[in-house]
Amino acid sequence: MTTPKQVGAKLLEVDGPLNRFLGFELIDISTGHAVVRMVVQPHMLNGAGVCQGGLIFALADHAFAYACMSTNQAGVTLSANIIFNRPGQPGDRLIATATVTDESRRTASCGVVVINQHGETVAQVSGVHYRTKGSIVEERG
Amino acid sequence: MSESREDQIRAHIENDRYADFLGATLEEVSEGYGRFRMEARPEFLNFNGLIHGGVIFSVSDLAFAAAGNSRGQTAYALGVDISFIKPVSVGDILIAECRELSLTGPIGICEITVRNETTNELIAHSKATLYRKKEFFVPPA
Repeated sequence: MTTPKQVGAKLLEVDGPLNRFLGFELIDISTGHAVVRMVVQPHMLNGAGVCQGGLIFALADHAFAYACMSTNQAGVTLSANIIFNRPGQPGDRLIATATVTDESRRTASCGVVVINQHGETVAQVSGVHYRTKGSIVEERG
Repeated sequence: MSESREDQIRAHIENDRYADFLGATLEEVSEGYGRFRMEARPEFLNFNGLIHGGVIFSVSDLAFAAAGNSRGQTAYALGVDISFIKPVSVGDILIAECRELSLTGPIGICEITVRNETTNELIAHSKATLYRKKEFFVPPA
């Protein structure tokens, strides 16, 4: 039986270049749960001088996908709704915590909260994940 | 001879470091409309071998920001509901278009599409809500 930590290790190995490019760091993964962190850097800012919303979504979507795949099932995001509560300021440490709230054989619903280092909510995401065929870590036997 | 109001608005929208980071370029902006173009690069790949949904959301968010700011007033995204329809491969050209459907007081409702120019497929569709501040970053004509 593959554990969420083993799934997390495999995801980090395969997603290494993407995580380095976007500045994502996996902090924790357990069954139906994942935490991903990002520090708002100068190249992430929009014209208003705050973190571009697309990247905040990307951070949340990343935690979302890892939480949904923590049970070693591959999948994709079908739809997601994001609420932007407050901007991410330069230098902020943003933490996205994703929790699977319900699942069936083919789908999972998941909620993500993104907070800053002051514990303030930056964004909230809820969405539906679709399980494709295949696993993250090859099961033996 | 100073540049036109349209040129100033365009310059303001193009001043986005995250867009530069992704290699996304503004193609068009007019009242209530914005269009961005981006090539899917290898850095955007996730473990599935597909372009990360957060990056697809990001280019749609750039078009959303362009349409939202198109009147010379600063707009903020309140929320976005996105559906991911088709996967994207490296090298594909994405066209993100945003149209404002309504503008009631400070609240705007927009529709955003992301099309794959290479395969001529619809990649993502969103309904998005924005809040427009009273202040103009380019004074009204």
